Amino acid sequence: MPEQPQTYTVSTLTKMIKTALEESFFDVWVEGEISNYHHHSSGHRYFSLKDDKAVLRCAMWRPQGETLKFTPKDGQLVLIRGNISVYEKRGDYQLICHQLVPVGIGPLELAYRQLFEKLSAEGLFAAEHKQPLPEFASRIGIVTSPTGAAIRDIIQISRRRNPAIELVIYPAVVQGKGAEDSIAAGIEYFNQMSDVHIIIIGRGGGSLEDLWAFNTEKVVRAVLASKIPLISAVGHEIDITLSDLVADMRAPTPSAAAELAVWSKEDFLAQVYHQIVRQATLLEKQARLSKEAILALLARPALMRPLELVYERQQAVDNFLRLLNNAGKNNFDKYKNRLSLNLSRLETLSPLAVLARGYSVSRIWPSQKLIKSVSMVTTGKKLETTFADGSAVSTVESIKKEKRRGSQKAV
Amino acid sequence: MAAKKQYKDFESALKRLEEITELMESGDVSLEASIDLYTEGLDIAKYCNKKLTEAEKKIKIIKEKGGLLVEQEFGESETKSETN
Repeated sequence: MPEQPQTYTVSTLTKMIKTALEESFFDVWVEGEISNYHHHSSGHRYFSLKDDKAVLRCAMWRPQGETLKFTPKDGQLVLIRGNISVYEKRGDYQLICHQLVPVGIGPLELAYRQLFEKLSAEGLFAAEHKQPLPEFASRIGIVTSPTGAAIRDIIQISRRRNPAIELVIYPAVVQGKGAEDSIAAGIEYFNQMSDVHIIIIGRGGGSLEDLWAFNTEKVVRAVLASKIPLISAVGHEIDITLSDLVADMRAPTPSAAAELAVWSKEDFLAQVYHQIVRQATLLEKQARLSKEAILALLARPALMRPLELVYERQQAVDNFLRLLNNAGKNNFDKYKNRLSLNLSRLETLSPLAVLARGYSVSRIWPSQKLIKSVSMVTTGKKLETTFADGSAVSTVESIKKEKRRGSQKAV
Repeated sequence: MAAKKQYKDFESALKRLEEITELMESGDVSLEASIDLYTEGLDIAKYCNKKLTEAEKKIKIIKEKGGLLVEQEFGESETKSETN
């Protein structure tokens, strides 16, 4: 009796094939081109990997698929790590993918390009989406990690530039799981619940992976939707995220964002003092012209104006001088040094200060006629000379005329 | 003397100051009016200076409290635990 050949049932043989294949190929790397890519509503992804001679069916289950940053597409050359699995019911085998990376380009780089292209096609990087930053924001919202380097830098710069500005921090997760939701929620919070004038989003430097949340569609769309002007400040100078590109303003670092958002108290006060000094100069000029006009009137006795009118004008001039002195006494706190410099400039504009610098005014005594020329005095005449702090009466001993014109100094 | 005005913000205060300078530069105002304008200018400068030097605003942080998000004072020491 010939021995009966060993016969397997379909199930048994399939089981053996399954065991053989799955044990031999439980962790393999394979490179090929994606075709027939299909992202099923269940979340699983099905596709084929091919080269010019063969085709391999592949599946990527939802949990692994969700870790993909970029979107796999037909024609993409990819490297896959996975295991071979035999599906007994259909008698076929497929590669179950654990990792899928593009070939020739980093996965994050590819994802960045894909999202960039998508958003460009929608016109979302256009300048017309940009809002101007308010010049004098008094309340600023910041979406970042409360323990990061970024918030420390922002606080430091902001305190230095202007402690009167209020900072409100929305503590966000800025990297890893949940970061994109957290940052987007912060932007939405300020838009809906708070009356800040500027929003800053950002974080300190890190790898492309660390900064990734700022390249996600979720954050980019939240930035675009913000009605409040927003500054994006992610990483260092060289890191440019998609959030940076859609934000109303991009700052190269978080410190730079604070410089942009927080207006400088010192610059502002410098502008204020510039105006005041300008006004004082104009007023002094006007007062001096008025005083000259009064003196001209007094010097012309033929023109008898009612004295009250003259006194009124004199009073106006006196008020002005008092003002200048008061201004000098104002206490401007921390800015005292700089300010007192400015204010003492105001005082030097005052006619009183001219006397303080060593000049004096002489009048004929006792008639009080102002001496504007040496020709008004003769030897033996008495003069009253007013100094900054008093006056003296003297007698003219000798007279020396000079050709120089315009000199009004009496000796 | 000029009536005391309240400026709702720094922007309008600076704007008024610039306006005053322009008025005085125009040469169309009397000495008395100039003095009033200058007094107003000084008042604005003092107001701005006072507002800017007296107020040191607190830093706030959003926290969840009983299911609501509220603003609380932020201690700067809270930033010192780690870096990223």
